[in-house]
Amino acid sequence: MKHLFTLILFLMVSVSSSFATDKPLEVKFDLQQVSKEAGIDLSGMYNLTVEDFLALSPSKIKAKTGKKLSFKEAIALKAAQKKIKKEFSTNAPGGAGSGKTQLAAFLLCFFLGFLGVHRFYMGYVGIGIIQLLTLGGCGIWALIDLVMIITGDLKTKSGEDLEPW
Amino acid sequence: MVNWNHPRVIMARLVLYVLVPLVLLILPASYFDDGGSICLSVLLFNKECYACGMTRSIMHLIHLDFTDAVYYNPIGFLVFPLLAYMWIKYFLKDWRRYNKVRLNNAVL
Repeated sequence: MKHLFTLILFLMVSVSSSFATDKPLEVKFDLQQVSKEAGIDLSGMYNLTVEDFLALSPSKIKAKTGKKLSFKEAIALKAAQKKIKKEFSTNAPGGAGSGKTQLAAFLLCFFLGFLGVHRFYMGYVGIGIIQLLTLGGCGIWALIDLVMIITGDLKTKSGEDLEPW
Repeated sequence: MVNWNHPRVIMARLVLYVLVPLVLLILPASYFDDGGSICLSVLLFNKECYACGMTRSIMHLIHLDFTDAVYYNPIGFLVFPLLAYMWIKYFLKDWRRYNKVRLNNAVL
């Protein structure tokens, strides 16, 4: 029982931390600059597009430049790609919404609604904690949320609609 | 209902225990590199979970390509020895069971 509680607490913290929304940043894709900051030498590669950079892996770099990356450089490469991917997804033209989909909210509400996970996902941390402690508002509140998510009436904390399905 | 203790079923399992690593070794190390993700965490939230990249990492690990293994998932270095241990353990367990069942059948 104690372990279960710890596990749920851990899940809550990780879920809420990963869903914490960041303010959209200015997109700057200076790949040479990014890779330089990460400590990766891309000097042998020219005309890299963002997609090319995201598709790079140590073996591909070795095949192109003949340079073998160290462990540290491999991890730095991964971190740099993650950073670019994150900026890309929050600033993608057209997809500038909340980035939270109705499908994800629906699945979270259906399977973990009694823990209020869908509320954490949508940014309502306070309501999420209340639902966590009351088993989703005795189940009724979670059920209401489920219907509202399906009909698209429930908005995220920042007031945006969920992206439809 | 399958009788999991039937000698032929145990034999099939034993063959799988040997065959799967061999097939993975014969395939090129980059075999799984350029595929789409089936991880729910990626599909729903665009967020890689701690196990994402484990297949690719271990695939590179068994081909002794350590840099790529670190790149795809550093936790693979921890998981691979544990996996290998369990693999051998279950192989030996089935091996002993197979011999025992065969022996019993021979006596009867």
